[in-house]
Amino acid sequence: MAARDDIELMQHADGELDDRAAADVDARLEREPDARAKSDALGQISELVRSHLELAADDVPARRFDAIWRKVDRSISSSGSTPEEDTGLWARIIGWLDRHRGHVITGAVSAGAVAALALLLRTSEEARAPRRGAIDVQPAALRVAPEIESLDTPDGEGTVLNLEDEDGHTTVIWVSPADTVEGI
Amino acid sequence: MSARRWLPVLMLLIAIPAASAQPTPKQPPPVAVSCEFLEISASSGAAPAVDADLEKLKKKFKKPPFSSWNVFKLLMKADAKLSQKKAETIKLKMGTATATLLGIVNTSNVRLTISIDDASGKNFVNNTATFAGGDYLVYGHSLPNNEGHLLALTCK
Repeated sequence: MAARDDIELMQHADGELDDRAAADVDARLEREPDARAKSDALGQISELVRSHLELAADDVPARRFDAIWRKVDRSISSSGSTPEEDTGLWARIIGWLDRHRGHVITGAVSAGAVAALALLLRTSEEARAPRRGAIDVQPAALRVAPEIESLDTPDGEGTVLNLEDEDGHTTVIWVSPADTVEGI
Repeated sequence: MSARRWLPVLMLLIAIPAASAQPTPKQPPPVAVSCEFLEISASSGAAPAVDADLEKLKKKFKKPPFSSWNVFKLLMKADAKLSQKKAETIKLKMGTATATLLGIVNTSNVRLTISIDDASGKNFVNNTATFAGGDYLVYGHSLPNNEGHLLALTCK
Protein backbone atom coordinates (compact mmCIF):
# COMPACT_ATOMS: atom_id res chain seq x y z
CA MET A 1 0.00 0.00 0.00
CA ALA A 2 2.89 2.35 0.79
CA ALA A 3 4.35 1.94 -2.67
CA ARG A 4 0.99 2.73 -4.28
CA ASP A 5 0.68 5.81 -2.10
CA ASP A 6 4.14 6.96 -3.10
CA ILE A 7 3.22 6.58 -6.78
CA GLU A 8 0.11 8.65 -6.19
CA LEU A 9 2.25 11.29 -4.51
CA MET A 10 4.60 11.41 -7.49
CA GLN A 11 1.67 11.64 -9.91
CA HIS A 12 0.21 14.39 -7.79
CA ALA A 13 3.51 16.30 -7.85
CA ASP A 14 3.61 15.94 -11.63
CA GLY A 15 -0.04 17.03 -11.99
CA GLU A 16 -1.05 13.75 -13.56
CA LEU A 17 -4.03 12.93 -11.33
CA ASP A 18 -7.65 13.77 -12.12
CA ASP A 19 -9.54 16.19 -9.88
CA ARG A 20 -11.05 13.56 -7.64
CA ALA A 21 -7.78 11.67 -7.05
CA ALA A 22 -5.93 14.94 -6.57
CA ALA A 23 -8.50 15.96 -3.89
CA ASP A 24 -7.99 12.63 -2.09
CA VAL A 25 -4.21 13.13 -2.13
CA ASP A 26 -4.61 16.70 -0.84
CA ALA A 27 -6.76 15.42 2.02
CA ARG A 28 -4.18 12.83 2.76
CA LEU A 29 -1.39 15.39 2.83
CA GLU A 30 -3.45 17.39 5.32
CA ARG A 31 -3.74 14.57 7.74
CA GLU A 32 -0.44 12.65 7.21
CA PRO A 33 2.76 14.55 8.02
CA ASP A 34 4.83 11.74 6.58
CA ALA A 35 3.09 12.03 3.22
CA ARG A 36 3.48 15.79 3.29
CA ALA A 37 7.23 15.39 3.87
CA LYS A 38 7.51 13.01 0.93
CA SER A 39 5.57 15.42 -1.30
CA ASP A 40 7.85 18.28 -0.33
CA ALA A 41 10.85 16.14 -1.06
CA LEU A 42 9.46 15.24 -4.51
CA GLY A 43 8.92 18.92 -5.26
CA GLN A 44 12.47 19.72 -4.32
CA ILE A 45 13.81 16.92 -6.53
CA SER A 46 11.72 18.09 -9.50
CA GLU A 47 12.99 21.63 -9.07
CA LEU A 48 16.55 20.34 -8.85
CA VAL A 49 16.21 18.33 -12.12
CA ARG A 50 14.60 21.27 -13.96
CA SER A 51 17.37 23.61 -12.87
CA HIS A 52 19.98 21.12 -13.97
CA LEU A 53 18.45 20.80 -17.46
CA GLU A 54 18.23 24.56 -17.89
CA LEU A 55 21.90 24.91 -16.98
CA ALA A 56 22.78 22.16 -19.46
CA ALA A 57 20.85 23.94 -22.20
CA ASP A 58 22.67 27.17 -21.47
CA ASP A 59 25.94 25.34 -22.01
CA VAL A 60 25.12 24.61 -25.72
CA PRO A 61 26.93 27.18 -27.86
CA ALA A 62 24.73 29.68 -29.64
CA ARG A 63 26.30 28.82 -33.01
CA ARG A 64 25.09 25.29 -32.61
CA PHE A 65 21.55 26.60 -32.52
CA ASP A 66 22.23 28.70 -35.58
CA ALA A 67 23.35 25.61 -37.46
CA ILE A 68 20.29 23.76 -36.36
CA TRP A 69 17.99 26.55 -37.54
CA ARG A 70 19.75 26.73 -40.92
CA LYS A 71 19.24 23.03 -41.30
CA VAL A 72 15.59 23.43 -40.52
CA ASP A 73 15.26 26.23 -43.08
CA ARG A 74 16.89 24.11 -45.77
CA SER A 75 14.59 21.24 -45.00
CA ILE A 76 11.57 23.50 -45.35
CA SER A 77 12.83 24.91 -48.65
CA SER A 78 13.59 21.51 -50.15
CA SER A 79 10.13 20.28 -49.22
CA GLY A 80 8.84 22.43 -52.09
CA SER A 81 6.94 25.02 -50.15
CA THR A 82 7.92 28.09 -52.23
CA PRO A 83 11.21 27.48 -54.04
CA GLU A 84 10.25 29.77 -56.96
CA GLU A 85 10.34 32.87 -54.86
CA ASP A 86 14.09 33.10 -54.77
CA THR A 87 15.00 31.48 -58.16
CA GLY A 88 15.11 32.74 -61.75
CA LEU A 89 12.69 32.24 -64.62
CA TRP A 90 14.76 29.47 -66.18
CA ALA A 91 14.86 27.59 -62.89
CA ARG A 92 11.12 27.95 -62.57
CA ILE A 93 10.61 26.58 -66.07
CA ILE A 94 12.94 23.68 -65.41
CA GLY A 95 11.18 23.04 -62.16
CA TRP A 96 7.80 23.05 -63.84
CA LEU A 97 8.99 20.69 -66.57
CA ASP A 98 10.53 18.46 -63.95
CA ARG A 99 7.30 18.25 -62.05
CA HIS A 100 5.34 17.51 -65.24
CA ARG A 101 7.95 15.34 -66.89
CA GLY A 102 5.57 12.49 -67.66
CA HIS A 103 3.04 14.72 -69.34
CA VAL A 104 5.68 16.57 -71.31
CA ILE A 105 7.13 13.32 -72.63
CA THR A 106 3.68 12.00 -73.51
CA GLY A 107 2.83 15.18 -75.36
CA ALA A 108 6.16 15.31 -77.15
CA VAL A 109 5.91 11.71 -78.31
CA SER A 110 2.37 12.23 -79.54
CA ALA A 111 3.26 15.43 -81.34
CA GLY A 112 6.31 13.79 -82.91
CA ALA A 113 4.26 10.88 -84.16
CA VAL A 114 1.69 13.19 -85.72
CA ALA A 115 4.39 15.34 -87.30
CA ALA A 116 6.19 12.30 -88.71
CA LEU A 117 2.94 10.97 -90.16
CA ALA A 118 2.11 14.30 -91.75
CA LEU A 119 5.58 14.64 -93.24
CA LEU A 120 5.44 11.09 -94.55
CA LEU A 121 2.12 11.71 -96.25
CA ARG A 122 3.31 14.99 -97.69
CA THR A 123 6.48 13.36 -99.03
CA SER A 124 4.38 10.73 -100.75
CA GLU A 125 2.24 13.40 -102.37
CA GLU A 126 5.32 15.21 -103.61
CA ALA A 127 6.70 11.98 -105.01
CA ARG A 128 3.50 11.49 -106.97
CA ALA A 129 3.57 15.01 -108.33
CA PRO A 130 4.65 15.28 -111.94
CA ARG A 131 8.25 16.15 -112.43
CA ARG A 132 9.17 19.42 -113.96
CA GLY A 133 12.20 19.81 -116.10
CA ALA A 134 11.91 16.43 -117.78
CA ILE A 135 9.29 14.41 -119.56
CA ASP A 136 8.03 10.93 -118.96
CA VAL A 137 9.09 8.66 -121.78
CA GLN A 138 6.23 6.25 -122.15
CA PRO A 139 6.37 2.84 -123.79
CA ALA A 140 6.11 3.08 -127.56
CA ALA A 141 2.68 1.48 -127.61
CA LEU A 142 1.27 4.20 -125.37
CA ARG A 143 2.64 7.15 -127.29
CA VAL A 144 0.33 9.29 -129.35
CA ALA A 145 1.14 10.20 -132.92
CA PRO A 146 3.04 13.45 -133.36
CA GLU A 147 1.05 16.52 -134.20
CA ILE A 148 2.37 18.98 -136.74
CA GLU A 149 0.90 22.35 -135.86
CA SER A 150 2.59 24.38 -138.53
CA LEU A 151 5.02 23.78 -141.34
CA ASP A 152 6.63 26.46 -143.41
CA THR A 153 9.05 25.67 -146.22
CA PRO A 154 10.04 29.03 -147.79
CA ASP A 155 11.52 27.74 -151.01
CA GLY A 156 10.09 24.30 -151.30
CA GLU A 157 7.33 21.93 -150.56
CA GLY A 158 6.99 20.07 -147.32
CA THR A 159 5.84 16.52 -146.98
CA VAL A 160 5.00 14.92 -143.67
CA LEU A 161 5.27 11.19 -143.20
CA ASN A 162 4.75 9.15 -140.09
CA LEU A 163 6.62 5.89 -139.73
CA GLU A 164 5.30 3.81 -136.88
CA ASP A 165 6.77 0.60 -135.61
CA GLU A 166 7.45 -1.15 -132.31
CA ASP A 167 9.97 1.56 -131.44
CA GLY A 168 7.39 4.30 -131.64
CA HIS A 169 6.70 7.05 -134.12
CA THR A 170 9.16 8.65 -136.48
CA THR A 171 7.80 11.73 -138.15
CA VAL A 172 9.61 12.70 -141.32
CA ILE A 173 9.34 16.24 -142.63
CA TRP A 174 10.83 16.21 -146.07
CA VAL A 175 11.46 19.40 -147.94
CA SER A 176 11.58 19.26 -151.69
CA PRO A 177 12.84 22.25 -153.67
CA ALA A 178 10.12 24.11 -155.47
CA ASP A 179 11.76 23.53 -158.79
CA THR A 180 11.91 19.77 -158.30
CA VAL A 181 9.85 18.13 -160.94
CA GLU A 182 9.64 14.82 -159.20
CA GLY A 183 8.63 14.85 -155.59
CA ILE A 184 9.39 12.27 -153.01
CA MET B 1 -8.24 20.96 -66.61
CA SER B 2 -5.06 19.52 -65.18
CA ALA B 3 -1.70 19.64 -66.88
CA ARG B 4 -1.76 15.94 -67.63
CA ARG B 5 -4.73 16.54 -69.96
CA TRP B 6 -4.07 19.84 -71.60
CA LEU B 7 -0.35 19.52 -72.15
CA PRO B 8 -0.47 16.69 -74.74
CA VAL B 9 -3.45 18.36 -76.38
CA LEU B 10 -1.57 21.63 -76.57
CA MET B 11 1.47 19.97 -78.12
CA LEU B 12 -0.71 18.22 -80.68
CA LEU B 13 -2.39 21.48 -81.54
CA ILE B 14 1.03 22.94 -82.23
CA ALA B 15 2.45 19.92 -84.07
CA ILE B 16 -0.45 19.19 -86.43
CA PRO B 17 -0.60 22.60 -88.12
CA ALA B 18 3.17 22.80 -88.20
CA ALA B 19 3.56 19.44 -89.86
CA SER B 20 0.64 19.78 -92.23
CA ALA B 21 1.47 23.29 -93.29
CA GLN B 22 2.33 23.63 -96.93
CA PRO B 23 6.03 23.92 -97.54
CA THR B 24 7.34 27.31 -98.35
CA PRO B 25 6.43 27.94 -101.95
CA LYS B 26 9.52 27.35 -103.97
CA GLN B 27 10.23 28.88 -107.30
CA PRO B 28 9.19 26.13 -109.71
CA PRO B 29 12.10 24.73 -111.65
CA PRO B 30 12.22 25.93 -115.22
CA VAL B 31 10.56 23.69 -117.75
CA ALA B 32 13.29 22.04 -119.73
CA VAL B 33 13.89 18.91 -121.74
CA SER B 34 16.99 17.17 -123.00
CA CYS B 35 17.09 16.63 -126.72
CA GLU B 36 19.51 14.81 -128.95
CA PHE B 37 20.25 16.16 -132.40
CA LEU B 38 21.72 13.87 -135.06
CA GLU B 39 22.91 15.35 -138.34
CA ILE B 40 23.07 12.65 -140.98
CA SER B 41 24.23 12.44 -144.54
CA ALA B 42 22.49 10.01 -146.84
CA SER B 43 24.00 8.69 -150.01
CA SER B 44 24.05 5.69 -152.23
CA GLY B 45 26.92 3.28 -152.18
CA ALA B 46 27.94 -0.13 -153.41
CA ALA B 47 27.35 -1.60 -150.01
CA PRO B 48 24.82 -0.50 -147.43
CA ALA B 49 26.34 1.12 -144.36
CA VAL B 50 24.80 2.73 -141.35
CA ASP B 51 26.89 4.24 -138.59
CA ALA B 52 26.63 2.51 -135.26
CA ASP B 53 25.37 5.71 -133.63
CA LEU B 54 22.35 5.54 -135.91
CA GLU B 55 21.30 2.08 -134.83
CA LYS B 56 17.97 3.31 -133.48
CA LEU B 57 17.08 4.76 -136.87
CA LYS B 58 18.39 1.90 -138.94
CA LYS B 59 15.00 0.30 -139.47
CA LYS B 60 13.50 3.60 -140.58
CA PHE B 61 16.16 4.05 -143.21
CA LYS B 62 14.76 1.06 -145.06
CA LYS B 63 11.48 2.88 -145.63
CA PRO B 64 10.66 5.78 -147.96
CA PRO B 65 11.80 8.48 -148.28
CA PHE B 66 15.09 7.13 -146.94
CA SER B 67 15.10 3.89 -148.86
CA SER B 68 16.50 5.61 -151.96
CA TRP B 69 19.86 5.71 -150.12
CA ASN B 70 21.75 2.96 -148.41
CA VAL B 71 24.66 4.75 -146.77
CA PHE B 72 23.94 6.84 -143.72
CA LYS B 73 26.70 8.59 -141.87
CA LEU B 74 26.56 10.62 -138.72
CA LEU B 75 27.92 14.08 -139.39
CA MET B 76 27.30 15.59 -135.99
CA LYS B 77 25.69 14.64 -132.71
CA ALA B 78 24.66 17.20 -130.13
CA ASP B 79 22.83 17.00 -126.84
CA ALA B 80 21.01 20.16 -125.93
CA LYS B 81 18.91 21.10 -122.97
CA LEU B 82 16.02 23.14 -124.19
CA SER B 83 14.47 25.62 -121.80
CA GLN B 84 10.99 26.90 -122.31
CA LYS B 85 10.72 29.82 -124.72
CA LYS B 86 14.46 30.06 -125.03
CA ALA B 87 15.85 29.54 -128.50
CA GLU B 88 18.74 27.14 -128.67
CA THR B 89 21.00 27.22 -131.68
CA ILE B 90 22.72 24.04 -132.81
CA LYS B 91 25.57 24.42 -135.20
CA LEU B 92 25.44 21.78 -137.89
CA LYS B 93 28.09 20.61 -140.30
CA MET B 94 25.88 21.89 -143.06
CA GLY B 95 23.82 24.69 -141.67
CA THR B 96 22.22 25.74 -138.43
CA ALA B 97 19.20 24.57 -136.47
CA THR B 98 17.33 26.67 -133.94
CA ALA B 99 15.04 24.91 -131.51
CA THR B 100 12.67 26.52 -129.02
CA LEU B 101 10.80 24.56 -126.43
CA LEU B 102 7.25 25.81 -126.19
CA GLY B 103 6.19 23.51 -123.39
CA ILE B 104 5.55 20.03 -122.13
CA VAL B 105 2.14 18.54 -122.87
CA ASN B 106 0.65 15.93 -120.55
CA THR B 107 4.06 15.34 -118.94
CA SER B 108 5.17 13.09 -121.81
CA ASN B 109 4.99 15.19 -124.97
CA VAL B 110 7.24 17.95 -126.14
CA ARG B 111 5.97 20.96 -128.02
CA LEU B 112 8.66 22.88 -129.86
CA THR B 113 9.52 24.85 -132.92
CA ILE B 114 12.42 24.07 -135.22
CA SER B 115 13.95 26.31 -137.79
CA ILE B 116 16.71 24.99 -140.05
CA ASP B 117 19.02 26.86 -142.36
CA ASP B 118 21.09 25.09 -144.98
CA ALA B 119 24.83 25.40 -145.48
CA SER B 120 24.38 28.64 -147.38
CA GLY B 121 22.37 30.13 -144.54
CA LYS B 122 19.11 29.88 -146.36
CA ASN B 123 16.15 28.94 -144.24
CA PHE B 124 14.35 25.96 -145.68
CA VAL B 125 11.97 24.79 -142.97
CA ASN B 126 10.10 26.19 -139.98
CA ASN B 127 7.98 23.82 -138.01
CA THR B 128 6.00 23.61 -134.80
CA ALA B 129 5.25 20.10 -133.61
CA THR B 130 4.20 18.14 -130.56
CA PHE B 131 5.63 14.68 -130.20
CA ALA B 132 6.15 12.09 -127.51
CA GLY B 133 9.35 11.67 -125.59
CA GLY B 134 11.38 8.93 -127.19
CA ASP B 135 9.90 9.45 -130.65
CA TYR B 136 11.89 10.98 -133.50
CA LEU B 137 11.38 13.97 -135.71
CA VAL B 138 13.47 13.80 -138.89
CA TYR B 139 13.88 16.78 -141.17
CA GLY B 140 15.41 16.17 -144.55
CA HIS B 141 16.06 17.64 -147.91
CA SER B 142 17.86 16.51 -151.02
CA LEU B 143 21.21 17.84 -152.03
CA PRO B 144 22.23 18.49 -155.64
CA ASN B 145 24.52 15.47 -155.88
CA ASN B 146 21.69 13.06 -155.18
CA GLU B 147 22.55 12.94 -151.55
CA GLY B 148 20.34 13.66 -148.62
CA HIS B 149 20.83 15.79 -145.61
CA LEU B 150 18.91 14.80 -142.48
CA LEU B 151 18.49 16.18 -139.03
CA ALA B 152 16.91 13.81 -136.53
CA LEU B 153 15.97 14.80 -133.04
CA THR B 154 14.47 13.09 -130.07
CA CYS B 155 13.74 14.40 -126.59
CA LYS B 156 13.41 12.92 -123.14
